[in-house]
Amino acid sequence: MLAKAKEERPRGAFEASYDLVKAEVTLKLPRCVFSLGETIEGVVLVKPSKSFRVDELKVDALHHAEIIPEAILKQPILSFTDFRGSDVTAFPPTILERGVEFIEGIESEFPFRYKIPSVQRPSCKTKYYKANWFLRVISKRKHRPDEKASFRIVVANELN
Amino acid sequence: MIFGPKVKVDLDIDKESYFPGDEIKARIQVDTNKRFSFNELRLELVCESFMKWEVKREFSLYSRSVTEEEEDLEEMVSESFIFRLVELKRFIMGKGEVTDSGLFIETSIEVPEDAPPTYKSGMINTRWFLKAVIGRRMRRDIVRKLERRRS
Repeated sequence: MLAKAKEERPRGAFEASYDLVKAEVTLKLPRCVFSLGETIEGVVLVKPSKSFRVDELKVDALHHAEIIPEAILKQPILSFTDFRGSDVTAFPPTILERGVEFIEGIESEFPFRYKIPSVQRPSCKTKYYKANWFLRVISKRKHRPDEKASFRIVVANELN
Repeated sequence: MIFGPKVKVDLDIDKESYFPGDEIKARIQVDTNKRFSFNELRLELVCESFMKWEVKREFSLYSRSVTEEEEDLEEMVSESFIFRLVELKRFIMGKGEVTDSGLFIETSIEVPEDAPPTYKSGMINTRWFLKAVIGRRMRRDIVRKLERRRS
């Protein structure tokens, strides 16, 4: 059985912003619904609030599936640490640029292409589990943890 | 000794994959070496999801011997279960008989609009299958199961 993006899903151009510590990251896509195996063409805008340098700026896709404990367990769980039922897969990234210097107040634009993997894991929600896809903009800096801006997208087998 | 009939059921569908709201057109061919009667002939559309997870379980003091050093009676244990997400039955025929010349039926069943997609990840495996079922009185049903995979 295949998943089809429904009519009521958001249509048209997609634009969303995410605040990182030193910059605001905006992702622009032609739409927010894609099919498995499709190549997404989009633009990442970075608006720094302070000057900083990143070693690598990249985009990847993350798939997150989650079993809903209340739906499957007869006895309720007491805390989130009592249950492990999620499946997270990060797919190989596309590197937008290496060694980027961001200067406070100056916006930079990075066009990109990213191919959604052809795996049988469409976005879906059932009584027992839900599966979501995210496009992530990752800024990598030496000796510091990566900073990630995540944007939820919908991935179906076919678009209307 | 009396032997029952040797029955062969072929089930064929019109497409490789379907979307919610589609109609599955099915062809059922029943061949037998001996005439037999049945109570019901039906088509079943089933969606099952195999899920596995880990949950913290507390062991009772009475369930095993516990030493003083062994204080932690809680541990994460793996569990799994198959949940049936969709089960649709389409009645095709009531009481009838299959003769030596066999039986051929064309029928259809509609996929619900809210049908979950086929899905496969490490913890969740959701599959769809179609079954042609010949229900016989006081005997085991004759079932032909068809599963379409798409990756």
